[in-house]
Amino acid sequence: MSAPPPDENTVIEPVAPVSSRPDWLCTEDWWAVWLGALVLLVATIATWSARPAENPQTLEKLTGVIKQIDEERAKEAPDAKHLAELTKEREKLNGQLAVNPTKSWLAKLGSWDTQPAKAFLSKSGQSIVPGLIGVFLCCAVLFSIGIGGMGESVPRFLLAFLVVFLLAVLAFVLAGQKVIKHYNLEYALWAILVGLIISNTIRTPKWLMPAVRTEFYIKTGLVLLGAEILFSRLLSLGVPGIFVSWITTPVVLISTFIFGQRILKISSPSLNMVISADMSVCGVSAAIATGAACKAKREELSLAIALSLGFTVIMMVLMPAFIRAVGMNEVIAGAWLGGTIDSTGAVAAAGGMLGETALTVAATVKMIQNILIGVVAFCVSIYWIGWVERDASAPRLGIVEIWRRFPKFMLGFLAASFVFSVMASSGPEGEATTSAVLHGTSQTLRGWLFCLAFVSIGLETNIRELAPYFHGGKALTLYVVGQTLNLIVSLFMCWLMFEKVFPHAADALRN
Amino acid sequence: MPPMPSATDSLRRWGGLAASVSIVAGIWLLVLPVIGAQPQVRTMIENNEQLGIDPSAKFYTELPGMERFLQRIDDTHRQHPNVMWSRSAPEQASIPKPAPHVPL
Repeated sequence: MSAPPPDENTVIEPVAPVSSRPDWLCTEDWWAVWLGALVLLVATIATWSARPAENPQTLEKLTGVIKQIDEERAKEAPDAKHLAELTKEREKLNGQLAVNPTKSWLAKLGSWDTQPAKAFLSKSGQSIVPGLIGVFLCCAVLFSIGIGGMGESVPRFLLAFLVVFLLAVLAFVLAGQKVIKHYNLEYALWAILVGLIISNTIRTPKWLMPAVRTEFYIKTGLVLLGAEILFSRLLSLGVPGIFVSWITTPVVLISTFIFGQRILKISSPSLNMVISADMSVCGVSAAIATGAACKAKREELSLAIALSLGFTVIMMVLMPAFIRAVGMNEVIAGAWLGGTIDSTGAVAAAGGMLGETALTVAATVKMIQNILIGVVAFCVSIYWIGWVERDASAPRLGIVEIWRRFPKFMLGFLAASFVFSVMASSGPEGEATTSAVLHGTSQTLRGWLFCLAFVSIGLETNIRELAPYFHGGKALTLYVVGQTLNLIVSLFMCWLMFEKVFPHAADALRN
Repeated sequence: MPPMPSATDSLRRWGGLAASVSIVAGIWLLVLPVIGAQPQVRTMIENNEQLGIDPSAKFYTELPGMERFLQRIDDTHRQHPNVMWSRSAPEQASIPKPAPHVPL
């Protein structure tokens, strides 16, 4: 006899776990949390333990320098040279407040113009190979712990990981070419290309597959990214910043997603969401975070990133030219660039073409938008569980079921954001420690993990599988319509905030 | 079990890899350096480097000049505490004063 159908308010009972091992020891989501937390914990403890004994004196000097800067700026005719010296002194003192001893263990590849070998040298001309070995060992140890913890073969992983890591190095070398770098063609594109070349010519060998772990690398990278989402920075531009970044962006994101679902009728909601998020929030990093939250396919992520990077290059060149042609106010121009160009680096490059004020405002608006990633990713994951993945005829989801389906790595992402936001707001020493941990460890490792993820995407992708996504040009239409809306709404909001509502804020920023 | 690739098939695959690698090497080692040497492109690169801009940054924490940008914003907040929170004109009538820009 079949059970009676549940009524509308019936809560789905949780499904008993099949494995006898607890979830938090056998899923990638949980291991991403543990590994990310381990990295952040080690770096924070090391940085805090190594804090200089003379910090009280440094803080005293810093307070004095800030007071001098304020006095100089308040003068009728401030001395630019003296102000520059004081600013440099402040930077130096800030840097002395916290030292991250693990910074020298890890390295990122440098840039080059004609000789690729220069990518392996630091700015001071020293070899970064020891730092690359450090990154390899760090990643190998971390993921061996995770792979072993999930009951998989560690030696097979390590053998394959060496090759995947070398492919990631190659991707960074390609991305480091100065023309490529300065036109914002980020490593994500080249990492996918490197993988695609292999998978679509000689085909990815089976022995390489244990280290082709796209989701694992992305989720661990996202936990590290969480630490960089500092809510203390949210109010940097006061009310105008909130309106430009936190009101316009969700409005554009939701409108574009609805347009994709209702008008374009895009068959994959996750593709629609990833494109809408990378176009409206902040490009590749938003695509990665929302893609993980809505479980987008790797081909969808690749397509969204390619679209975003392609349009970023165009906007980075055309928008400053347009702004100059119409003689737009530098503050409004900066805020408009920050609110519309997808990639953070491209926003700064476009702002830099217009002047220092535009650059400062553009980078700050983009930073506030960057912080939105955490909220967007969380809301998308909840929306996916509660509405997109849910069978319309199924009973209402209970808390237990929501918890079961919730992407657990998101907890690490949110917890890292919370802990580091609190630490950064705890005073100058806390802020300096946060900065040292982020710049010395988490940001470098996160970059490597995302690069490994994109190499893995390439290694798993058959170019023919991408063809259906271009069919009918719906993805392109979605991006173009969404970005057009973004340009119009953002420009209106920037004008409203900095010209009509807070004109004095614009005047102050111009100073 | 998938059939073993024939010698021709294998040759075609390795040929495809060699061709792809050659194209990439040609673009990166020959074409891009020539583009990079163009005065307009070189000026843009030098300008970005001077201003502490990494155009390939994915997140604000990757921008080398971000700390300086934020300090400039903090300076503005200290100088004009309510200017970004209140619509009323600030007490200091000196806002429109042309202050010198500190090189970033």
